[in-house]
Amino acid sequence: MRDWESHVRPRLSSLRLSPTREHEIVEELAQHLEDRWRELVAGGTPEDDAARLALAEFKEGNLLARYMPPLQQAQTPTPITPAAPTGHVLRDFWQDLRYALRMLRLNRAFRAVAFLAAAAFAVGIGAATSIYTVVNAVMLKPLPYGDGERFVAIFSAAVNDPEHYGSLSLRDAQTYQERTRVFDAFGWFRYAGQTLTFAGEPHRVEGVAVTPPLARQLGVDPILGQWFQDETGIVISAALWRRLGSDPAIVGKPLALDRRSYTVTGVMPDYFQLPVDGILSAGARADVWIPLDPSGRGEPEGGGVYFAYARRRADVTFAVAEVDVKRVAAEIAAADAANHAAYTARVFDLRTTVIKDIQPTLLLLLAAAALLFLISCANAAGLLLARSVAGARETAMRVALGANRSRLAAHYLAESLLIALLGAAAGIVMSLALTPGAVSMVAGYVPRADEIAVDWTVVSFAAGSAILASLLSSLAPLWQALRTAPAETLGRGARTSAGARSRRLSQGLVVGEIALACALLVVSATLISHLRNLSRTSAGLNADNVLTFVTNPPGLPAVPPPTADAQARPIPLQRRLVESLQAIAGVDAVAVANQLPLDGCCLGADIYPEGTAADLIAGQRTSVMAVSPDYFRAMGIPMRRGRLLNEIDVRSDPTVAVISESAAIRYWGDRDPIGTYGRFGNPGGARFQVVGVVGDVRNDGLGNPPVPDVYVLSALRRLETMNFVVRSARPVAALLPEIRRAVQSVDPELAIHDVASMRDIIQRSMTLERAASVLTTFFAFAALLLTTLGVYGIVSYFVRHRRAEIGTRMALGATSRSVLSLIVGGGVTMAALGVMVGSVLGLVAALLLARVFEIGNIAPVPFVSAAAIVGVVVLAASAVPAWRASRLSPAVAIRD
Amino acid sequence: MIETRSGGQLKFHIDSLYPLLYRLEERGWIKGTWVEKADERRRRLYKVTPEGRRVLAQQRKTGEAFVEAVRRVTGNEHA
Repeated sequence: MRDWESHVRPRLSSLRLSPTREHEIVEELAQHLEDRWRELVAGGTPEDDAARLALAEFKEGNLLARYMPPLQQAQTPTPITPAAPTGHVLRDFWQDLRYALRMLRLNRAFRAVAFLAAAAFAVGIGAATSIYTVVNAVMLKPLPYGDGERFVAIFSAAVNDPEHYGSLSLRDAQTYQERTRVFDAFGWFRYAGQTLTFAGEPHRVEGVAVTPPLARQLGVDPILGQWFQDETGIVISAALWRRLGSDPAIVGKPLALDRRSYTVTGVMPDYFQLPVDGILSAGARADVWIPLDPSGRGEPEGGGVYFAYARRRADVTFAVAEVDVKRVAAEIAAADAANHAAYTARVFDLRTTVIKDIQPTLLLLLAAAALLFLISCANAAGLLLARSVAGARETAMRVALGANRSRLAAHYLAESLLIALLGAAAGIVMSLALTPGAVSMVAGYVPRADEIAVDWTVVSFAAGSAILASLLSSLAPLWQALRTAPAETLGRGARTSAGARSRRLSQGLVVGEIALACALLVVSATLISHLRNLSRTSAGLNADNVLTFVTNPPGLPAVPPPTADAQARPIPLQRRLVESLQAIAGVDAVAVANQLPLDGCCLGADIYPEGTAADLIAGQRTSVMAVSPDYFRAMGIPMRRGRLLNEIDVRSDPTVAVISESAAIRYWGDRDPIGTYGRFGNPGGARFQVVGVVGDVRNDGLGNPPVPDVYVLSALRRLETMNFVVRSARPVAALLPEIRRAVQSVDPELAIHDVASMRDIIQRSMTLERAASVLTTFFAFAALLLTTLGVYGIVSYFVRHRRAEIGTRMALGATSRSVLSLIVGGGVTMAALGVMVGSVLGLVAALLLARVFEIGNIAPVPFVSAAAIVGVVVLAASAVPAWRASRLSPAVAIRD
Repeated sequence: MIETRSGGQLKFHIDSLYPLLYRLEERGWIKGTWVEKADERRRRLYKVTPEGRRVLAQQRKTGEAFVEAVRRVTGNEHA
């Protein structure tokens, strides 16, 4: 065939055809010309004339080039081969992104690397995002009050006890309001009312009486109606409103709270809380708010339990406000020293009070998620590095074509950004699934749980982590690329020039991964052993076969009882309930108490043993337990000395009390407390005589030292909340209906709630520890998985690149076994280095953990087990490629 | 072939024929395939697709209608 192609090809050059398409067209047209030429020659035309005639079909000008452009096949996009910068950073980067996207579509090897790296990112970013989702809602968002960030809570406290703080008396709250100069809103509240009757139906609610100015100054408007205008108004929560039937015309309707009538004036939105979650309300949300007279009219005599919230003026810092409050506290203590020994005030940013308990756990989880995130970055970096080594020729070509450092950086950044964004998208989806699970694990312990949601800050957090991840993970391949000498690489091939350097870098990355995973494992193992120690700790009582429940005597002081008669009424109620419960078959012991151990600690009071200097004792935390005589038997608390309480003690004067061992040691020291006297409240307060000493109960959590207990008879006091303790070997399901019947036979209006076995309560007291250990273990194993993949990837990658070397060794007499040990040995070296670094990191983390979570001592077990797990996993991950290498045929390996 | 069938009235040149073919192919009216035979260079053959047939039938109809309209207007039997 004649050379027609040289006539055709130039005519297509102005078109931007893809090379394949151009080749096809050239071939087709050349054939056309050849056919025409043969036709003419066959018809007798001389060959040269025939050729001229055939070519004459191409008319004047290039019609072909004019007709073709509208066609799609002529619309190949501008080629993008990122090399020399064009001078526009964004345009360059956009080009890089498009290039990466195209590689993702067209290049199978890159797609595999990208998929693995994106999966690693998804794990890292997903974990970080789900923890951030919680942190964002719980710790970062301002409280849902107007100017929520300026609100503070004011508590009473003791100068010699920085740990604890308590409520205010009415008088003190009033004094703070009068004398502080830094607040533009101030008010207080107390719990009030628990039985609400609406349309004849009783409902159990949590009621709060609040000074009306504070209610309005919180800056949240009711969704229906308005705040109360006078003392008969009541405002209800949206949740209660729904419970009552979502009546849109509820405003103005009557209801009764603890048998006193009110008129509904408003319904608050769902997000409204008073008090805020946290210290004061363990999971229980207030449902109703009634007005509390700031002047104290109608309030119970002699103290009461009040909590104050105040809003800093906009120009006042928290520190200034704190100083001002403490100044007033000092004035109060000076003016009434008898009732205010060692007295001071503690001021909290209101948000701090919300997150105080959960903050360490959240920060721990955030740190664990951050470690996992770093591991996923190292993992992706390793993958991208391997790819950049494989693509060293391309890089060299680019450098030769004029790509400078920043252009190369942009290229790697674009690749990893693309991958990280994909990973972040998957991570967000993952966190959507993970977060509710994590939150439900600590249900009741996460304040503001209903505010936990993925919002734009969470999405931007995920996007931000994706950018950070892509920056971090593009560093390694970039470092590798910058050391690429074009001539060397293009001349000798990528294998020799890139090998050693990038191998060290990759190994460094994997060692880093192993170290971080090891540290995470140490942390999770430490938490697990802490949890195990906790659950082995004796609570100081016999929790088997103990069922507890709560009931509230009616007629509680939503308003204070008007007559002494009402004051007297609940006392027989306690006894009647105890007797009725005792009559149930199979019940061994029944008691009532004002509070239960391990269920939020503690209703306290100051006690002053006679004959001890008051200053030493004042303000020390003591738990006052008001119990019925059988409490010790029902709870299984052992007696140590003296005697227990009995029914006859009700009439004794002074009051008799039983104390715990730690109370005896703290207040009486070496002296025998039996028969001695002490006083409640202040050195001149109500007198009591110690008649017995019982064993300590871990009332403040299994991990904390017991708070000294003083037990007095419950019949002497009015119990706002009656916690019943029933010891019986019968199953709960059978027992509970009988308990209900027994309670209702005493008073049909009494409802029982918060039914829990003592075992449940003990388990619940470890919720945060359990959640922390479960989640960190989850993170640690995710880290281990990523590390395994990292080790496997790097070892098999280098086995592939050292095939010739391995083949040579085998040809020279190396056995499969020595090849195996050569490669596994590499893995073991990495593991050893990683475990060493990781143990140091883990030690630092464990020490930190021990301080924050009050873990007694750090055992070597977590370190040993973490090292063992990492060692085994790394060994296994490198054994697979090693085994494959040992099976190589030397001839094949060398030839490749 | 076109030239023969049209009695030399219709004549295509290489630089108008192939862009036309490519355009028809892009519209999905014809489909080109490379056919290889022993001892011969591969050739590209074009076939009318079902879609192409449908379009052709339609255009034929409008074409005939057009010719008929012209005949009526001019009154010329041999339009």
